[in-house]
Amino acid sequence: MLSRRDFFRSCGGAGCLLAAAGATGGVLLPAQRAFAKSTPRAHPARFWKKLPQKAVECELCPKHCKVEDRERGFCGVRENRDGEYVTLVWGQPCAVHLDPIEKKPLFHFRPGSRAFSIATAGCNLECKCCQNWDISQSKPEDVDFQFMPPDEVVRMAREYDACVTFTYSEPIVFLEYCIDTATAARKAGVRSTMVTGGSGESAPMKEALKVLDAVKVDLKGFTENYYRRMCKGKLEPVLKTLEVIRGSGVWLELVHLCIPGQNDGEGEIRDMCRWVKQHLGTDVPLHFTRFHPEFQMKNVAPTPNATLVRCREIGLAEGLSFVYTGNVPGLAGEDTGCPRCHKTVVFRRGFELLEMHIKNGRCEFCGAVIPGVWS
Amino acid sequence: MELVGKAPNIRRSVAAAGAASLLAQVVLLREMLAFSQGNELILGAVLGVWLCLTAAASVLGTLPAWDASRARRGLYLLLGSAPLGYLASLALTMLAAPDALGEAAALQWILAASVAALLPACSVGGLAFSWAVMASGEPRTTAIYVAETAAAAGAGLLFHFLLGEHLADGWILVVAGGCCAGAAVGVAWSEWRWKSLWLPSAAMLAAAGLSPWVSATVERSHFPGEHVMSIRPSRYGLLAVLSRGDQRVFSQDGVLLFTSEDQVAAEETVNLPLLLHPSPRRVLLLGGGLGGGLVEVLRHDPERVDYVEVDPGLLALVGTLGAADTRAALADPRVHVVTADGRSLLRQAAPSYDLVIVHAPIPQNALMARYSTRECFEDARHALAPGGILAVVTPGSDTHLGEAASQRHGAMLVTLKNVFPFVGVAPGAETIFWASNLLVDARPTVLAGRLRQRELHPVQTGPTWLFDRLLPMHGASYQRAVATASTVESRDFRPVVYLLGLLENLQRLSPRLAKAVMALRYSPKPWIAAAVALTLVFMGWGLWHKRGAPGLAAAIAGGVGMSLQLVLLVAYQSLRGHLYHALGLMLAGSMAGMALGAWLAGRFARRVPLAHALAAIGGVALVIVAALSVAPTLPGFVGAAVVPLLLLVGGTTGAVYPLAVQASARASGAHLYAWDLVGAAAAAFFTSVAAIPLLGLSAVALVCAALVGVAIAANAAKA
Repeated sequence: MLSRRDFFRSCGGAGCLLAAAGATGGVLLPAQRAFAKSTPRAHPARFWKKLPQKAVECELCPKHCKVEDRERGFCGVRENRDGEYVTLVWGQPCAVHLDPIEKKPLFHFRPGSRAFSIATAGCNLECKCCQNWDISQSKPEDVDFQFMPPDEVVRMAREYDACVTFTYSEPIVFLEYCIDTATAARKAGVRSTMVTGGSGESAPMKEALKVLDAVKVDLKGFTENYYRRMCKGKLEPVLKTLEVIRGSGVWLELVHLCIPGQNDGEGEIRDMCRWVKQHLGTDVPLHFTRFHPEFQMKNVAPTPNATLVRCREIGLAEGLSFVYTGNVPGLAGEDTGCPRCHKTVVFRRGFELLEMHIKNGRCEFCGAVIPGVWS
Repeated sequence: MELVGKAPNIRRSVAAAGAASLLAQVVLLREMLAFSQGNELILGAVLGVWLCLTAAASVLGTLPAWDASRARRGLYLLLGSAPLGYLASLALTMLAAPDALGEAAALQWILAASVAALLPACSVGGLAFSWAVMASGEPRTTAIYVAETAAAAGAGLLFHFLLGEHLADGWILVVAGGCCAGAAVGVAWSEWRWKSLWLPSAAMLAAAGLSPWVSATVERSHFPGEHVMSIRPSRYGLLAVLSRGDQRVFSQDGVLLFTSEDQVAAEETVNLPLLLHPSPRRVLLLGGGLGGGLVEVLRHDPERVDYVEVDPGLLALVGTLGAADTRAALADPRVHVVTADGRSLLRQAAPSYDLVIVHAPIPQNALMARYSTRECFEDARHALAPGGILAVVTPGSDTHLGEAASQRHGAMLVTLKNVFPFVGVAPGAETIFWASNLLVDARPTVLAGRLRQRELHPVQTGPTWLFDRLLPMHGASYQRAVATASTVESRDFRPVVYLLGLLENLQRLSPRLAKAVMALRYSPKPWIAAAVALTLVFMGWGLWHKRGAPGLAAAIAGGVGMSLQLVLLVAYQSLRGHLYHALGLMLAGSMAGMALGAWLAGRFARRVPLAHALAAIGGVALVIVAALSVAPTLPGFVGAAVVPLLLLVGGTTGAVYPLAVQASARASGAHLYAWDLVGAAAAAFFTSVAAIPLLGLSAVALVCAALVGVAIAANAAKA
């Protein structure tokens, strides 16, 4: 039987609990403003096929995600709605920026010009060292995006006298947007470039290459083990993509981000350079760039300068004509040399163009052709 | 052979176990902190794991229904083998070691590794308490509790003043093991004489022999595959210098500090602030100098540079192994290095600085968060000469600020705007805020002109970089990102930036968990649901399980005691600055207070109801609320009152345990000890990580008082 004393004790205790909750809520809740999230708009996706029972199979990248109704692929930005595959990032970039073209880095593509850079959320890899993990590892509804259809992108690029660049996260996952925007840009006389990890299927890439003017590919490592462990991806599809790009005639440059102790071994670098020479040719620029601590490698020290210099020397020794160091302004390896007379034809410091001695795509000193897009 | 001994030997054995447990706790937590790169989120979780494992061991120790003699034998075996147990714990911390330097292990893996690593050490502490109670009888439970806490207090002092800076972790654990080994001999000597030396001696010899190898192996596991030039403990953590060819890498507790090749990074953080002022003659640099920042400041030819670096151990390392230009900068007659708390310097400085540059990394702990609070910015404003500029450099993004990052930036912006009339921002990977009492001309043309005037040719931050960094389009993107961010300013007593920094770090460790936590933060529904559920649970428990009331009292006392301690420690740091030895003294004082309170309650207050002791804790909580409310106007007085308040908190919470034992007809002393630890564990995690940053110190103390009210209601005795 409940006594009066017990009843009042219980009420008193309950009152104290509610007071504690009230104090918590009263202080906590009014002062917070929730991150304003918008609902991303759906747009028909390409490069997929239907499967039984309303499932679909994405054919954009080697993962070939089999997606059930109301689910999304690995990249998080393509969704199956009632048996129809849609992209949730078309026209909805979350990062819009104006960069020097050298920052991409594209050293043989209109030096000194600007890149109007856009990116959406999502990626088909999960690199531990990702510099843009805030957007690449996010879903569209988790980021602050704006609606910017292709015409608007082109208009802004023209306003800044820049080319359009699809970059930061992974353009392959928003390839429809890239193709539509690059098509509009071409009509308007604006060039388009792409910065990609290269993990895509050949057919979509060929479609995109029809309207692109340059591509820079991150060749993150040269072993399957590295790609699996550090990126949750595969090397083989990236190498295939590189051959597709090279075969299309679109200007290609490569970047290898050197991470100390992970992918900077001499053997691996040498194998990479030999492969590039054999399959892509000696004229494809290769950049060895300094790693900067980020994402899940926040406390890994940046790449020693000596490592970048060593990698560059290996590349040159293996016969590659244009091998650069990156992210260390002032370090040897920023300038472009003529492969014939060996004079410096482009002087750079960091992202800044200092001097250029290339006329009509040829060395001003000896007349040798310098591969690239110079105007 | 039966072991029948005297009670003082049992108390001494528990005291030794208590002292050893504290030493082991500090060493092992420090190792786990180093493996998790200094993240206080992890520290709170691991401390909670420690307390829970000890509580579990204490309960498990009561399961075998031993008589006193068997319990003493168990105690002898346990303490005799403790030296090896502690060393095993140290070795097992390597389970949390990264595969490669600097990589963050998954959160769940770190927690699992913590459980495995701490199990041997926690077992010693928990089982020792239980078996000591069994060996000496329940009436002596309070004496055992007093002995344990008093010895732990002494061990805390010993560590902070002597052992921490001079002995490697392995040897500290050998000392801890030695305490236990000696106590084991004490337990069994009266019966076994010289035979009682066998087990402890063998264990000590083995531990002493293995310790250097274990220590070295654990140290190497922090830096897999690296060439280590120097490792040394400092007051603030384990400092290490690694060599990679010409590059020198400096780290502290696994956190990368800087390298000898960071010129570009230093330029990017320091050049812009220096160019914002037309003629910076006196500059104060708080952090960021040893990685090249000092060198860059000197290029602008100031008359005087005051550089604050709180860790003299780091300065000494840089003095011998740092980059040549940094060593030269430290020796420059214009540079005055101050090894003191930066906030104290700001508070005491005359209004003489043309430029104050504060490096505010993503805060890993409450100490770092003090450089992003309103009080810090107000102190900086007072230290500025007319026309002076405060620049705050903090990690951001070149392209897109994530949710947690935009919240943190929003809080910092709001805080700056509440102090200074004019605030600007240059967003980027290292975002630079500037603030002044006068409008600052930040046009790129003006800044580029100053570069020419000063005849500077920076490698990266030339005119092109300035124009790009200050492009209106980038500023507009940034403003849109922070437009929906937090509007709560960060205060010393409510360090919101600290919580937001923890969330940013959590996003790296576990993006899904971070997303769930952020959703929880903004939605009132879970909080209301939790409050209603707790109320219903209490109503049911209070009516039907009155005999659980002493356990509830012990748990709440443990939790409230830990919470109030954390409140006072954060208040002390904010008011008086971070003094490492003072913190050790305060923690030891709190434990001494617990011992004293328990002794007094056990000896003189046998007829005092438990509810009255709980009311005393509530009263202390309300006194703390009052003290915090007058702190802004009487900082000196309140700062000095922190230590006595810590003693009061310790004393009142310590008094609860013996009274709970007295009031409990059902639970044993070991069970109540376990409840105490569980309460403390929950508070260790929740209060430090969430409650203090979210609610602020005063609100936390009020919530503590309310929770004490719950315990009082449950334990109010019948007439």
